[in-house]
Amino acid sequence: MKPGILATLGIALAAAGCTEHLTTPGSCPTFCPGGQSVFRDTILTPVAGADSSFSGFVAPSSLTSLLASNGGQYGEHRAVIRFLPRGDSVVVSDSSRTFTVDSIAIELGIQARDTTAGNFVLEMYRLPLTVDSTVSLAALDALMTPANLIAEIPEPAAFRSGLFHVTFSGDSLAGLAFSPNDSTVLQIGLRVRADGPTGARIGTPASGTFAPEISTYVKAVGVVDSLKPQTIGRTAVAFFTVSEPAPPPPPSLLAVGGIPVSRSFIRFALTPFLRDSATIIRATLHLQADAPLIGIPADTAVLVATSVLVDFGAKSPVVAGVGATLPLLPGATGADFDVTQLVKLWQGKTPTPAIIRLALGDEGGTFLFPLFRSTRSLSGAPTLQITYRPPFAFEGY
Amino acid sequence: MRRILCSGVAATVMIAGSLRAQSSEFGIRGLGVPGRELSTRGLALGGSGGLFDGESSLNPAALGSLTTVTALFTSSGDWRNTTNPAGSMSTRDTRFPQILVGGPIPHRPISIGISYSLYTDRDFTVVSDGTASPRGVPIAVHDTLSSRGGIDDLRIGGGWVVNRRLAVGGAVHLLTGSNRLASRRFWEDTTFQSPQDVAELSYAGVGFSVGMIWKALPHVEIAAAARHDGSLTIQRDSTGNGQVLFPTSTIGHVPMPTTLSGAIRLTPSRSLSVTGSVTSRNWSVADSSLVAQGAPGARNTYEVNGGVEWFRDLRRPLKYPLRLGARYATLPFLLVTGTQPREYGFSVGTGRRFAQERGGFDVSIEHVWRSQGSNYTESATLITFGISVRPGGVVP
Repeated sequence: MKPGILATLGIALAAAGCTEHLTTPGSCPTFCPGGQSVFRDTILTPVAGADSSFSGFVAPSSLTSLLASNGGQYGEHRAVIRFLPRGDSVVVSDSSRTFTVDSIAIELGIQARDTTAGNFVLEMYRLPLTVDSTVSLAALDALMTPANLIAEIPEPAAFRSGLFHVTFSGDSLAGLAFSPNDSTVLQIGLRVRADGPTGARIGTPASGTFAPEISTYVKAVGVVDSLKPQTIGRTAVAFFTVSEPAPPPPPSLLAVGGIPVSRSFIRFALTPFLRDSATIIRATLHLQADAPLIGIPADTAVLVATSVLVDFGAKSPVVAGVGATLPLLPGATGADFDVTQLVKLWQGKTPTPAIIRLALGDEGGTFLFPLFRSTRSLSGAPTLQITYRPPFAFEGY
Repeated sequence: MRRILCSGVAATVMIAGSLRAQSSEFGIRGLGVPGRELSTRGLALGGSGGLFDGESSLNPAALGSLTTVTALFTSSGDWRNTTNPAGSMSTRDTRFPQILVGGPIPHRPISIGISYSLYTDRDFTVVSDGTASPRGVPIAVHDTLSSRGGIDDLRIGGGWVVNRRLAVGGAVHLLTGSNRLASRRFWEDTTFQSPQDVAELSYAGVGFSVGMIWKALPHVEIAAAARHDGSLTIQRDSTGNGQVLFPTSTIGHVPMPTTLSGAIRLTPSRSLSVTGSVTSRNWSVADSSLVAQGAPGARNTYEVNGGVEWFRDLRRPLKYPLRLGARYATLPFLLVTGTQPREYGFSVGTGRRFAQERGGFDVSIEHVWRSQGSNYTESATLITFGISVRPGGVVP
């Protein structure tokens, strides 16, 4: 191949190689055709009276935590757990056989507890099966007598969270023996005591690794010793928290969480310009708590803001996959969190209603119960701060 | 083997993108950097021979020089160093500035052609830094403004060879094209989202041109052309981030310039051709309209070109002739208020015809310097490669 053709081919490839790097440094106004970028900030208040709370959202079986406390700032809470029926026989060598109980282990998980109160003790009581979620605190306490006490679990001061086992064998098995009316169903109640007010969150099957379990180690009757002892494991089938009666949250406040579980809805009126033309770059919802939040020290709850597809009031369906979260800590006096993605849903050709729904991530499973001020409060109503960019003046030169 | 090579080169070149030529910071404020509507050969001659060149789009009368059906495609690579008060940067881009198909009508002294070439180029990406305080707290920001596109010139023209000494021509020019614009701000505080606004400006206009080539003496040819481009309509059609689609709206009409150009070509011997040309455009007619839209302004321009072509082999004159060119021009659109931008450049090139002149290529290497005052300067090296195909071969 002749050198001339090679050189020509090289030049052709250099000229035709489709690379592009056009970035040059610049500064306004010289290099700002159409003007400089303009960003503005505005603060919206909710539609007066259109921010409200509703309660009763979460069934007990959906709770991720049970609460147990002994008064003070925590109030009075007791936890009740019912396990699946154990049964009265095991299958060995294809035969159903009766068994004798060697020992029983109950595994519980404390998700968080207040370690500031000394001499923390978790009391475990055997409860009759007549106790259900309609029981009052007084009636439940009446059943938590020394006669029904089956275990006391003192926790070391450093023990803040984790799993633990309570093992019953020998004489202590008597407290877990079943009568025919029990149908091999065990129901226990949990109460805490300490030198001062304290509280604990106890895991449920919905919490995953903190799920309560009962394991019964048995030996089948009539089989040779070489066969391994049988283990019967059962998890909780029902669980609920029994709390002291409390008045409903004041209607002038926005309740989020608590028992029964509350959610709040805040409605805004977006201006046509913000809805149609502005590019929203940040939206912050400012909430002011009516009082500092109370909870286990350093134990967080997650405040979740979502948008709704259509305004059906308390049962408005939320937009899936888009939300904003903010950790809440005890002592917090407000919440400022980024709801940019939610507010952007209110824009465009098919906007969703300009509503923010507030809920807790662990509904019914935390002592934190924020009560935010509303448009009906004397001060401290929610505000939505929106930073936006008007359309860029591309048509300028 | 040569045919295979040429096919490969053609295939490489035909990975076509947008129809653009060189980009420049001098195309930011205004309609863009004016294109040159020249073939590769015309570029190598500094633009001086464009009025005589049927493969360029400056003079419709030159279409008469196409003695056979001709198709031309060019590709241009641009390596550029830009300096302004904000800093310096090396940039690079590749564009395809000239496409033409034309040829004679059989048994008639008339040739027609259609070409698609660059009128103005407005490709740029500008990055600037600063601070902003949207909520009272200063935050470092980085702004990016980018534009892709420009104005293209679709020319449909014809040339009439009146006699052996005179050719005339006329053409209609459809100005079209668009700018795809995007503006984005990056915040150092990532709690602020980085929005991108996008928009598209579309251009539409109609112009016409007339021209002539007169062989005044056996070794002297004179060419002249006049072109008027009427008024350019600019429309905006855009949609934003999650926003409602804006309806298409006309945002302005910009009067376009009248171009007057003349050239002379001397052939003192069969192996040498010397050309020179001057061009004037009254871009100031667009000044008030552009100023009203925020631009610093537009000024009349002129351009002076000169070139030499040396045919080393008289039996095969298009086998690697040597082409040299130089030019000086003022640029129409001010970057800042003050002196008018200008540019000058030198070029060198060659070419080759093969396969009984059914195929050919041309190469041009040009270096240009642009400046406005001492603060805004730019130098660029442009390599342009042109492929031409003449299925009928040479027709004497």
